[in-house]
Amino acid sequence: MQFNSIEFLVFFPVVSIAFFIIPHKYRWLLLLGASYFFYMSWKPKYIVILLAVTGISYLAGLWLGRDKNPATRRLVLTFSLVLSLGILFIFKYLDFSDPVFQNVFGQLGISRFEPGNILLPLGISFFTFQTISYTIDVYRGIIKPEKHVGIYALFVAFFPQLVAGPIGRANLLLPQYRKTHVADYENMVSGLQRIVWGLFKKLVIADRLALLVDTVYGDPTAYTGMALILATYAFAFQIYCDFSGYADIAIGAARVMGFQLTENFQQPYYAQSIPDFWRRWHISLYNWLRDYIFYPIQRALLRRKFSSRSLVAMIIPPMITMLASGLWHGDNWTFIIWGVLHGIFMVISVWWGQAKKTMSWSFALHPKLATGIRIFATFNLVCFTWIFFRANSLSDAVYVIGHLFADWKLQASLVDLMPGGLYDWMIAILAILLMEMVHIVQMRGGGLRPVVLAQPVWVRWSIYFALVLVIFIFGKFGSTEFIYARF
Amino acid sequence: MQKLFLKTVFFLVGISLSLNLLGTLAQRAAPLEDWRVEFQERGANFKARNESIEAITLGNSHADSIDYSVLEMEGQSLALAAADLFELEKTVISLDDKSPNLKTVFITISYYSFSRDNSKFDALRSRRVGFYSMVPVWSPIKGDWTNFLMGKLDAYTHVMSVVRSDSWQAVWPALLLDASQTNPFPYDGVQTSSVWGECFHYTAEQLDTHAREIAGRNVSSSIQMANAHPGLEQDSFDALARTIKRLQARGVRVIIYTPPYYQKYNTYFADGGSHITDQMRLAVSKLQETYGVEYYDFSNDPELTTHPGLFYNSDHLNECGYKVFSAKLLEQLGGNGRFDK
Repeated sequence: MQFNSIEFLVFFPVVSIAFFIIPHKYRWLLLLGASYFFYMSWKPKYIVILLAVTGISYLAGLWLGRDKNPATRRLVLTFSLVLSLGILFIFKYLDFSDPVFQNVFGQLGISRFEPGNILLPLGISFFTFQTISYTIDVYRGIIKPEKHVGIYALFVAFFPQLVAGPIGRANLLLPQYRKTHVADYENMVSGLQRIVWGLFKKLVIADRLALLVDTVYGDPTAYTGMALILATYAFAFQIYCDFSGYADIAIGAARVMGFQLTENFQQPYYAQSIPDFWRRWHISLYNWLRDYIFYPIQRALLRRKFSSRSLVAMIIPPMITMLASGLWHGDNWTFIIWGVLHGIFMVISVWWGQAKKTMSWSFALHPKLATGIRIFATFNLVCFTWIFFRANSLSDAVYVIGHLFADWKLQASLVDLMPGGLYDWMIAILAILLMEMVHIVQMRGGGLRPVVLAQPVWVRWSIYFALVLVIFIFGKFGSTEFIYARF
Repeated sequence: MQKLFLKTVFFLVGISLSLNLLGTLAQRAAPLEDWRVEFQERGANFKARNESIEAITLGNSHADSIDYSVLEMEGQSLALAAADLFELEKTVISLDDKSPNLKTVFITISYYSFSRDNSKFDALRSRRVGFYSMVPVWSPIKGDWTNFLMGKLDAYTHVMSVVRSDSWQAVWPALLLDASQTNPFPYDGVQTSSVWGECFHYTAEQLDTHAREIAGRNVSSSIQMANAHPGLEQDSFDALARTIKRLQARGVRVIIYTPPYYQKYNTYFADGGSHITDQMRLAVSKLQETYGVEYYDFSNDPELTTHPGLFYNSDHLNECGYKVFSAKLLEQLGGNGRFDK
């Protein structure tokens, strides 16, 4: 069940209304049942994986909460991480169509095994990372283990964030599942507005740009120059609108029921450096990587007497963190290089930040111009890395980079890269401009809601109606999958 | 909460009215597909004459082959373009008690009729939604809740006329210009006169091109649907069997037939889809055997299939073709001594 499907249009109101009607003590059960139903609507049997990951981390948490022996606790933590990551590894990274596996299955007498039937379980990277953070936090003593198996299972499977995050933290989420939620007008209205805004980004911008991006990146060797550049920039907006649109719907849906999820985006394309980009893009993943990979490595290096300004301490933690980020998306070389490039850019950025302090000379640019240049440079660096992220293979990515500036001229045929020609381009550009206007208002403080709420009632309602009708008229419908649901 | 409830109701009513208005406007200015309009007209005709109607034709667009004036019967086609046998069954259920004088039902069986499930094919899913929207059925075809809900939503909001694949690209110019002057479905065939009147038809060359394209597309879509719906043939057979039993229980005579196709269509269809036609013939003979249903096969009748002047395109007769075919059908039915007008 996708957020942009008719099933969800029925499912969500039914669950939300039922949530407020039934007594508080049964609400966890309703949400858990609804979340499992939501997950099983895709492939029912894959619920076993979700249950296994939930069970492993729940039991590990209980054990870690009771046992005081450091050695046993370390063993339990390791065992639980190996099991959880093992499941992730098996389903995400193993290629069962490989002849080696075929031989093994053959020798085991499993002749009916068809590797093509094994699909990547929806949201496996998200819920596995969420459970890992819980187990480590219990181990570190940051949180107490959750004893109620139902509440814990809900923490792992809560349907708004199950498939594509935001990756939640136990200390923020678990107390919310115990709290009594009262139907709150403000939460409901702002939640619904957030859902509509997410649908606008997904259906009007992302799915429209997907038509262009899929055409060009489907067979990049048929294109050169401007077409490749346009498709790359289009992908930058497509992936942002797709993923942040998902986050908006997830956050909005949770808010309707009174739950607060972590924000996952903060106008990332206005970042002034790569580290700044990562503070604004997929924030929940970056925070996870920072807390469970970056800081532990950095602390380990400091313990080994490496100064924080040493080259090793400057290079190793960001490189490993960003490599892990790439691997989290998949084991394709394209993702690995994407992660490594971000690591390199991050190291350069940190080094440059330190080097500037020791320099005797400096540029004296107007602050706004300097900010503009930094935003422009960061955006283009990010777009460059998106080439690897989007390309179907490393050779495609190399071709795209090699031909970005070949035959670089404006041609009438570029208009036809979109099925609707100029009309589709116009809609895409106007919708992006509208989104950027909203971003600018948000960055200037407060967000768009206060601006809208300050208007007379007829203006407010006209805006709501217009936004919904714009989605119906200009949206691309067809239940297109969210990009991050694949991870 | 009362405030929220009232605002929600007001918002939903407002959106529904807006969608109705915009949907009607868009559909009138630049209709995306003509099958909805055609089916709505047929439904309205049926409703207006339901007391007197003796016969109806059911099936997909290939069912548009009977001219009831030739049969001298009060009849009405309720064929829906691209309809599958599951939709046909639901149509018959929706007709219960609505046609007291109904004596005969003609059901068209195309080559691929038993390999069709519109809900399993993206390009035809909107037809299924349109079917639920236009036909008064109150439960979905097995396992098809999504399209059913969408269809019922569309019935009250016209949302499917607002949500257009062209994002209203064709609507704006049509609204600005005079819509009545533009023909959204231009026909590129020729018009000639014959003993059957003046009819539009494709030339032999156009028929060949069309046959190659459409037969290939029909074979490939049937294979895709069969892959997406394991056991599709059996399920389709069961749906048709239930339909026949339901009609026979009402004392209605059921006549199934395969209409004529232009000879090149038959050739191209056989190239990749001979297994589909074999399965169809096997299923039909099983129906004849089990339910004693009459079956007439005109698909290879050389008196029809070799005359370009009788075909609108390679798999559809034109109005002259309807007359010739209906006369032949009457002859067959009369010849068997079983057709009682």
